[in-house]
Amino acid sequence: MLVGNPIAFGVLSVAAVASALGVVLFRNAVYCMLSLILNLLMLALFFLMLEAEFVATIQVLIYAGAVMVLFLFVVTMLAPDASSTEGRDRLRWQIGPALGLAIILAGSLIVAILNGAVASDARKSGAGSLFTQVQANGDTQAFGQALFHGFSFPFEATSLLLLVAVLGAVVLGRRLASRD
Amino acid sequence: MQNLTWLILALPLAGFVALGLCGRVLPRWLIGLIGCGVVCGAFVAAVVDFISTLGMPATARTVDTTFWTWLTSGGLTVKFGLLSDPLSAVMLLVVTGVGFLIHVYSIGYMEGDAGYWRFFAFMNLFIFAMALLVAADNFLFLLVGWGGVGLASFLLIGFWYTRPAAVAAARKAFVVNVIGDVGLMLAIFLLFITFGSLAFADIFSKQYVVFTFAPHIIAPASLLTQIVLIPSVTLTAITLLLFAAAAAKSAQLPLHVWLPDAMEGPTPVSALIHAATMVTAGVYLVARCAPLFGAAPFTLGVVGVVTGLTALMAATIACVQTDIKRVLAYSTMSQLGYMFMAESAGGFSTGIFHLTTHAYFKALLFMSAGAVIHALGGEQDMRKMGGLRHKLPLTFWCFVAGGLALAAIFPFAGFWSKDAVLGSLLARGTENHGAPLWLALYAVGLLTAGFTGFYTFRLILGIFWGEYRGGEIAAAHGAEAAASRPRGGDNSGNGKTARDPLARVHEVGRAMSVPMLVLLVLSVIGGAYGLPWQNALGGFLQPVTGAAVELVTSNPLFYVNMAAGLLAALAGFGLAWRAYGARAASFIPSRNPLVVAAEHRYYIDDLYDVVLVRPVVWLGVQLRRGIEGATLDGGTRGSGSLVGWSSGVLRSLQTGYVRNYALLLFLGAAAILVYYVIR
Amino acid sequence: MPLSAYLIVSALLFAIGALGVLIRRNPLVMFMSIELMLNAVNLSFMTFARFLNSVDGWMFVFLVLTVAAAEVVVGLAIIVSIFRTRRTINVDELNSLKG
Repeated sequence: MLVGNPIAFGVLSVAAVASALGVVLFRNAVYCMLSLILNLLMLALFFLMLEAEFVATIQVLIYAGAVMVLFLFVVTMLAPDASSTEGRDRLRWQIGPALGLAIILAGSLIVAILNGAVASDARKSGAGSLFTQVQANGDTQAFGQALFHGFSFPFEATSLLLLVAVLGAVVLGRRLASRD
Repeated sequence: MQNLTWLILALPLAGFVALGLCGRVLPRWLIGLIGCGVVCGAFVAAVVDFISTLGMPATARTVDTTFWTWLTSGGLTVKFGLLSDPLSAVMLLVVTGVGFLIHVYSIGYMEGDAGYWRFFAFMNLFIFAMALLVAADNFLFLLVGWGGVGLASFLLIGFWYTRPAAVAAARKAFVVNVIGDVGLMLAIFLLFITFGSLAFADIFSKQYVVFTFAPHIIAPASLLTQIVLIPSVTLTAITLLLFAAAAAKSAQLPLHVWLPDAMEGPTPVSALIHAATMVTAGVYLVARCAPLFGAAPFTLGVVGVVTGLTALMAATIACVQTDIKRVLAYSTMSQLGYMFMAESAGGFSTGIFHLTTHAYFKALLFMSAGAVIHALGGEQDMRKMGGLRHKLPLTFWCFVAGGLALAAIFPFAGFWSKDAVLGSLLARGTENHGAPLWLALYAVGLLTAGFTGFYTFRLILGIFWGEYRGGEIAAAHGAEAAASRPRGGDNSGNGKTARDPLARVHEVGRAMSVPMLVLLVLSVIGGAYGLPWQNALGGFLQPVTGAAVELVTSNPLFYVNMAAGLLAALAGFGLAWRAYGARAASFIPSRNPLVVAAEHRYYIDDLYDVVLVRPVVWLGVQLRRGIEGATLDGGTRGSGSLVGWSSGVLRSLQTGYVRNYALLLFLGAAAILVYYVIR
Repeated sequence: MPLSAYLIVSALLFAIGALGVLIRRNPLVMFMSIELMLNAVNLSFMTFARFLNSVDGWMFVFLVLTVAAAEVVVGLAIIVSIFRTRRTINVDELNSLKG
């Protein structure tokens, strides 16, 4: 079954791949970061095409918003220009194997997808189906219901994880006590 | 009367164990007491046994006491038992008696030596092993005793083990002895195959039917158990192997090379082991197996030829030796040849007779030589002696007595025994079907007698006559100081002063002189039990060794033989007097090629060295390099270095770069992915 | 578009992210490539959620998002603390575990 407009899909996919390549290939770290932001936005548009508005919003807000801003801070603090990573690349030989590996990865994944991916018919009817839930309450409510009813334990664990991460960041960010 | 043979073995063994375990801490007098006491006890037991054997009727003099069964394996049953019969009684008397005298002598000779306790422990071990050899009633324990005396000889030759010459000599003696041991073992195997048992009673009591082609025997069953069919090849093989063992132990050609080197040991060792007892084990073996040898004429011929050659060769070498102990060693070799020659002619009891008299006078000669060496502080070279008869009168007369007995001068003991030996050869040569071989051997024996007289007199003149040729005698004298001093050292630095260089030379103490005197008496009268008119010894030994082969006293050849032997010896004396007595000893090296060859012992040692020793050593070195070095060591070291190399290779994976590790990670993931895709 | 199309895009993004991790020396850019990979997986999760009609896919995306955020926080803190004192931003400098 087909979801989404083919033309939109094509444009989005080209943009996503291009921005991904930009992340990988730009010399300037800030350009890489900007490409990543673009890529994240493209992905959010993908989520919209997949009829998941809430998740798309979250993606833009949190990922492209908060996380990338943090990245921006660090990048501008540590690597403001391209000259910081000058110097002979001691592992130049790794480019070849890396390319090959990427091609293999992509290729085998694509082969696997084309061979084995199963598209089941969407269950358009039925009380538990996604479609009915979304039809009934909107996808935010569906999301919340699933999160707090089915996935409450992971939710709580995630909160603990976030706590630990905050503590870790604070500890790691401290300057050494001897220097005042 | 109770048979006391077990005591003869038990006492020296107890002495060995006691001295071996505690000797280090015991006081000297106690060590000497234990060492000599046990042998004295053994001698007393041997005397008691002898007397009781005499008391039995002549035909029933064998007492075979079995103590327990040693092993039963398949068809072989071996019991540990001791035999007490005329032959073993005579041998035990000689071994324990002369052994006891030499133990007493050692108390004086080895005084001050650091290994005093070790010496007596080993000497007791030797007496035990020799007694076991002689008293065993089966071949297996004879072999045990055989090996035991070889071991004791090794330990005692290398007694001063810090000297490399002594260690090398001990090793040489042991290696050559082992060759004989192998011969004995092979003979034992063949004996077992032929007879099914190793006990003397089973082997020597049967009638042998020797055949070349399998005979067809028709006989009643009762007779069949008393006869043994032996192929003549087997019998010849057995007897030749037995003779090979005897030749190794008794230093006959070609296994004689160890005996002169064995003089590196202390003089009492030379006296006991290499003159009186151990080297006579071969003679005993042949005499014990007299029934076997009697049925193998080919072997007897071989024995006669080989030992005759040995006797002559050894006598000639003794004529040019300058070390007094080596002269006596070659003399022993020559006299042993005489014993074997008598046995080869069938006179087994004659051989034993010469064995006993030789024990007396050779032990006496070695003891006297030891006294001289002791007095001169370690000097053994004849060229540095001379004129000692005024300083050492007792030693001089002992030496003279022993020498006269050795050279077979009437009426000393050696005269009667050597006369009997030559007589048996002549008797075999002139009997009805006598082969000319025996006459040839008789001639060899006469010639050797001449040489014997020559070197004996030369020895006596060289040590005791003329002017003293040596240097200053150093202060320390004693057995070990003698050993540690380099021999032949010329201390003539102070000889120019008018001081008498022999001022500190003195006679031996009582511990050494009393045994010498006892042996002197025996050397004079010891021939009494073998006098030809009665031949008490021959009659005594007859049940074991068979009838003595001798010239009948009514035969005119008897007196011709006596005169010939005496004349040969006196001729030797005369020649020696001419060369060494009249003028100051002419020990100048001679250019005569025969003399030079004799001085190099006819190059036999060099021949062995080139043909046997060097190839074996080369092979050993190659094996060490090739197998042990390259293969085994290389293999273990190689596997170690292989592990090291491979871990070095693996270590190169740990580059430390994060990106490399990431590559490996992704490689693994990609591999799994590809695997599932392909599947 | 069919399911496989979305998944192929996801696969491509994933491979490109992997390439970025292996090629770039700047640790921040490596980190960004890792984020790229995480987002590719997010895409495939969303795709499956849509095509299998299940909300669980959304849940997973949510969790991945959260974990990625936490990871970014801690990871950047580490990178900052390591490279604050050095002159160069070069992940190859951290090779003291060389065997």
